[in-house]
Amino acid sequence: MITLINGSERNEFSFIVNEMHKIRAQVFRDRLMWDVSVENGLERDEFDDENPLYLVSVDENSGIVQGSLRLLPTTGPNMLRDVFPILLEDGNVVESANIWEVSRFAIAQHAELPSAGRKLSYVTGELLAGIVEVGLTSGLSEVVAVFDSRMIRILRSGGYPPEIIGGPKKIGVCMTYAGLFEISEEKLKDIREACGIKHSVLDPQSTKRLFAA
Amino acid sequence: MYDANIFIDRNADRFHTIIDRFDNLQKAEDIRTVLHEAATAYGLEHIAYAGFNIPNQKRQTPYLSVTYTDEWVKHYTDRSYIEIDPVISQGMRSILPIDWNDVDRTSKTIRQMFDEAEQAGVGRQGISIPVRGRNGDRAICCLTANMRDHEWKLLKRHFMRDFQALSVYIHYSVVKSTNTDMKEVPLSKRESQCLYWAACGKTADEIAIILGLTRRGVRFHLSNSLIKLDAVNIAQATSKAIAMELINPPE
Repeated sequence: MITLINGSERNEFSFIVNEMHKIRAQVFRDRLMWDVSVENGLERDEFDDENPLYLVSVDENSGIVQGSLRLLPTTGPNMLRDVFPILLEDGNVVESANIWEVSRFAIAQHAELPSAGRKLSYVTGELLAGIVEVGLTSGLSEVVAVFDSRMIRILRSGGYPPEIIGGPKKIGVCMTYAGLFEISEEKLKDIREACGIKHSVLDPQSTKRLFAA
Repeated sequence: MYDANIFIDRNADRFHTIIDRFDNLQKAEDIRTVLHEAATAYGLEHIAYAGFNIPNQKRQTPYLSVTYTDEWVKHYTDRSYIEIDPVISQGMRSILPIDWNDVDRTSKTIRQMFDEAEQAGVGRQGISIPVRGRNGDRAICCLTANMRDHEWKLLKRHFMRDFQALSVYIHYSVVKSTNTDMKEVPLSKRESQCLYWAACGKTADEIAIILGLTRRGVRFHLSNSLIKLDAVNIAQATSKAIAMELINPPE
């Protein structure tokens, strides 16, 4: 189930938030070997201080944190504008009220195995469906993300292929792209079908706490 | 640029008419008129905008432009409701739109505020949309209506994209208008230096020594800054310049 947490609430949710930063260190530093800053085993960057919205997948039964991502409006500080403008040619920018940015998409190693008969893990599907559900309620038309070629495969098999708008550029060891993802009821259906999800993935407690149901 | 103008066709005309009006605003006071028009176009009761940390504006005071009645604005201000209004505090903490139906009303004061708002014709439904700008500027845009719950849900589902975009456009218009209103202001280097030392309590003679100018030169620069800041004396000029963050003297 997806728990929604505002950056401003990180102290009230310190267990989940710490686990999230731990998983991000394992994924981005240890496995992808990105040049990220890790302190005490936790990966954090300056955009975590911009009060983003986190989507965190937590197993309802065990309470184990399985993966996460973060959302930031493209009208404010965001990674594509402030870190990866090189991916968009000719000074193009993505700055729209109806587009938020997804970054730091990370799945814990123990949650990475595809479920039986599927091409990708349940947690990946849950996070993708979570993006679209939040996007639909918030009036988004798209989300934008920076990702590597490995992610493209995952996204395609999750029923959520990107529309590439920039790159590829070699950043570190990865070929890196920028892409848009449509937010629509149809896409939510595609993702649910591809990932075997039947209902809303959002934890009703956090939607009740946070936003327009 | 991937712009906000990607919309479901059925809404496009209405939306673009409103956006055109915002683009052609002449002065800040006209924003309220266009908010009225936007509310009418979408079948809403009111639109209320509160901007925070707007460039050239006082940091502590939010910038308000609302279609509410003056009586309600006065009541809201007199009671300092902005300090307890959960819609404002939650909007500053989150990027998610907040439906007023979902706001925790267990506190008596908050229940009273919503009751009084409804009596004042604010509307029985409301949604607050947080906006984030480029330079730490923030805003919350509230849209209200008087329809039943089911109607309200339909309206939101239908127009939520427009509402998001509208909120950002209102914010950009406010930022733009506060810039042009202050067109005369940017002080010259000498003017802001003189004003800075005046704000630190130095006399014209002392400023002349500090900056290596003649006393006349200092007077000249200070009187120019009075004109630019529309101030009657140095004290008013320095306090205006501090509020607009043109100078930053020690406390």
